[in-house]
Amino acid sequence: MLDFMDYVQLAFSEATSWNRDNSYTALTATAQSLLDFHVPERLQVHLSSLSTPHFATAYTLGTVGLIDGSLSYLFSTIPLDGTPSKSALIPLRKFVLGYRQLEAPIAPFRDNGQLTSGKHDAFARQKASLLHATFHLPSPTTLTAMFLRRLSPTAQVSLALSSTQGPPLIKSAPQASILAQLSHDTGKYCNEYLFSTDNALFGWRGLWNFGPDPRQQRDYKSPPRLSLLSAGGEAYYSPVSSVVGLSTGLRFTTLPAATEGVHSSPNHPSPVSTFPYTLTLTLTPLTGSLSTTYSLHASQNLAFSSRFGFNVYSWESEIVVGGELWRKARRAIPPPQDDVLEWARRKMGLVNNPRALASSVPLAANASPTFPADTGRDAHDVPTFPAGQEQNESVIKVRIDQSGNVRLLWEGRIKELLITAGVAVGPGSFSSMSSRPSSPSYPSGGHSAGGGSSGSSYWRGVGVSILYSS
Amino acid sequence: MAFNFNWSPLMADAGFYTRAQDLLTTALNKSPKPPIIVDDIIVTELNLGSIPPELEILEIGDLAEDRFRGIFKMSYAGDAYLTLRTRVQANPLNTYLLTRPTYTSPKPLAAASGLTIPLQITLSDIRLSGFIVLVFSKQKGITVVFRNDPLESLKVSSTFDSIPFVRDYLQKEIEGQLRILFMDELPAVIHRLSLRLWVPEYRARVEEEQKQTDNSTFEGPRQDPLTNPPQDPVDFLGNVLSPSEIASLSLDSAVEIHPLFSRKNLLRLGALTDSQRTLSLFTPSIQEVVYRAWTGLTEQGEGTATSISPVSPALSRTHSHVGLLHASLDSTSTISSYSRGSTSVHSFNGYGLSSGAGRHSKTHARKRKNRVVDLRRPKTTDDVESVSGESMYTETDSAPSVFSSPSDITEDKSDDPVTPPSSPGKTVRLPTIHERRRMNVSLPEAAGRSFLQRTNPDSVISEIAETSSIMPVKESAENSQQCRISDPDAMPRSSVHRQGETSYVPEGNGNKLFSDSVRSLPPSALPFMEVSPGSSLVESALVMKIAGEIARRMQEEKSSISSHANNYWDGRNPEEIPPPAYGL
Repeated sequence: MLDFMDYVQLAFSEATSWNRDNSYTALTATAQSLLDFHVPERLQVHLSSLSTPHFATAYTLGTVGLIDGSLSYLFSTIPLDGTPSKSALIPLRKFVLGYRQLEAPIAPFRDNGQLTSGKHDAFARQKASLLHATFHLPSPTTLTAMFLRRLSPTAQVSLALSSTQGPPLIKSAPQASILAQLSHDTGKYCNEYLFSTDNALFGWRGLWNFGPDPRQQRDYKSPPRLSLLSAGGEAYYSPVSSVVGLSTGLRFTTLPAATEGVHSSPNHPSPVSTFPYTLTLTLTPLTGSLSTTYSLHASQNLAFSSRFGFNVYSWESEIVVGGELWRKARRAIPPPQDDVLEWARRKMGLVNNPRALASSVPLAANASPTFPADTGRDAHDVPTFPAGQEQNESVIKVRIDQSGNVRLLWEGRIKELLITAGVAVGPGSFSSMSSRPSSPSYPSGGHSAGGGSSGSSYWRGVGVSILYSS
Repeated sequence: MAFNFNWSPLMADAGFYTRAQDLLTTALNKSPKPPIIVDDIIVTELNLGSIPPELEILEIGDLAEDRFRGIFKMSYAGDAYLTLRTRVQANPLNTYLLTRPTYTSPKPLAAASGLTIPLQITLSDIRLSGFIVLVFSKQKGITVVFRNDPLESLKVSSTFDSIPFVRDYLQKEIEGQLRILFMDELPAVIHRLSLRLWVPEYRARVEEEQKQTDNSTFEGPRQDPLTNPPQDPVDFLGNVLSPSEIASLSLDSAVEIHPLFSRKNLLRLGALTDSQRTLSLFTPSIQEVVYRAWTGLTEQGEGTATSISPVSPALSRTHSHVGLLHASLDSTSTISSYSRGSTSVHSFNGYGLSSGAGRHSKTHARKRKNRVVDLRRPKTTDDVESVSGESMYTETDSAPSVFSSPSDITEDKSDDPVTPPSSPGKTVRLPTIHERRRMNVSLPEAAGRSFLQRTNPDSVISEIAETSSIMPVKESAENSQQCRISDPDAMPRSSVHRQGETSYVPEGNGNKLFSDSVRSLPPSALPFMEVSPGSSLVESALVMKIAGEIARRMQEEKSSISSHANNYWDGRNPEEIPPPAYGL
């Protein structure tokens, strides 16, 4: 489950039509959200609100053993009006990361200068900015802050600051560090340049999408793209400490048109697949590790993913399998009370069922279902689910690896609270491949301090996270 | 002198290596490891080799049965080796990111994926050369300190020997770690082990509390010196008493053990006495002690007898409830002792509680079962008054003792006919008079100052002035006079402890040698060294308590005297003023 602040930042990037998926960091986002999900380890309570369209606050209190908490504020220069912020209304599919269906990359500008997004007027007036700061309270107190600014429709700069008061755990780590990141996304390719003040680390990430250039005039008569092949790489170097990192990656994924073509247009020549899937391959040449993932979206409510890793130097391997299952609420939508004539219609056979009525509403909201990219990456989910049932969805995630570590997570909505409950069990044996220093899918700012591995216990962690927002 | 080091038995013990390996493994994994090490460090091989280190004795500063201090030069070029096995993270980006907050980490996709490599490190060809300061004391264990960095060279061979960059890095890191080990951690470990071996109190406490490591020589907090028997009881001559002797000292042995004095306390008090009697600058630091000098009496008594000392109040160590009785009952004897200065003929008879000479006063004293120590007498005899007093007295007296008490008997011969002559070996020749005189200038001033701080200034200012002006001159004159009159070599002095107790030299044969050696010593080491300066906190506390009790008793006696015998005090010389007190 996302943090509320991450949710708001996601809404910000949607509002500024920044494509988060078109980045090398997000190359394996699907597999990571299905396999490397985070299980809460304690009882955590989040209170948050988007009090004004520009301003959001969040408070976190965690307990069991030690009590910690955080205060965070977020300010956005553009209004985030369309974002549902009440925890009773937040669509769970947006809030919980699962199988991420990619869209065909689009360019920020069309060739004729026409804008793909109506939000460009906001760009014209002011460059959208976002300020976010979080103060983690238990000693050692940590302040994390972020400044994000859209420089142009194709560029964005972000500054992240982390400052810890008190001695650091590791002597070599500085007390404060700033990470600056400049991203340039044209749709066809994306480049990110990084610099960290910690050891003067330089970094570069790039992603290249094969296929027709989205910046070119798109021929409307040509069939929509069915699949996307992307390749990318990253490199890091620190002249101070001689830290070097290198990796390359390849991704093949189906696009919505491939699967929609089966249903919507039966006369379509060659559907690639009957279900969406994603294949990735990452290589780390320096350390010789190799990792492949295969994720598939079996149905609207079911997704599987698997990862196989191998190191050619140490001959260590890893196999992780995971999946997610969405469950719809048992409770059906009560029939509209004001429709007093429904019995008459039903009797007359004029209207088939109330579901058709309900599903017509989001379709109307999405004026163009064939171009769902305008509303963001998850737009394809919206028309497929009736608005009434979406509130009562829940999801179960399971993952297991070769050494028997099992993580189970349930996320759902009870009353007006968003609940995340998870358990992690396993021998916790030493596994080098799974010891990733940081998973990009979990921007967990401060709660890296977990009480998980405690000796010989088979239980790795149990926790509940409760979120209420208004 | 020869030392015999056994190197091979270490290897003969079959279980030694496995035990040492286990110890090392647990020690290495106890502290948090650097993030580059991702697995436990396991000691797979350990061998001390067959070539022992070479030790060259450079200096031995102190040598006794239970103490040793020396400086060695050690060089080692043996064939010991040590093999460690662990797993390290070979991806530098991985370890870099592990130690950084995630918020500002670059969050690489796959570049930080780990690569763990099993690592085997062998340390061999260890060359050590350095100066070792070894201090051994039975009470404080072994302290080994390296004067310099002992590690000369070391060969580190590892799995990465083919990669020169990694090899150099490992060599550098391990050498640095070993230097820290030799300089800091090894002395601490050895000290702790030795404490476990030799100090049973420490062992017991470690087992019980697992906490403190120091201050272990004596159990418990302060003892009440008046209710508990002393740790090392002595008789009045400073001879150490065995428990059976203690039992024979008193009829009701169970009760009367506790009034015995501790030997160390007596040494201290004797040193205190001498420091006042002579021109010595050095006074042992006994806290909470009020020190008084009787100048008027000193003048009076000086002319009549050579043995006359400043008449001092009776110091008695009894139970407090006995003491209350004693304060009133004992006034007669105290008074008589006061008057002794003028009537020196009766001195020992009147000095009822003081020595075995006063036989006729023995019955009187026996009932009270207390003893009096006169610290002021130059030939102090610390008296043991007991029922079997006479016989014990002579026995213990004639017994030769290594540790001579502050008292000296030879001078007593003249005026104490009962005391048998002691063997010459017992007396101790101190630094000569000239030396003492040299050191003795500032005592009165200091005394006056501290006296001001401790007592009511109004009543004693005049006394201070008097004392500080008169006393040093008088005393030094007295001392020198005595010195010339009697045999200068037999001049009674308190015991000298220059760190080693073996340094007592019989006066007859080793006089010259001894005084020479004394001269060469630093002044701080001169007369009144404590036996073990660092470890005797508790004794000093004991002495403090004793002295405080003494002072209080004196006050009581004085007050009782003034109340009971007003005529006596009135009839005395108006110069007869209470002695000024000077603290130390």
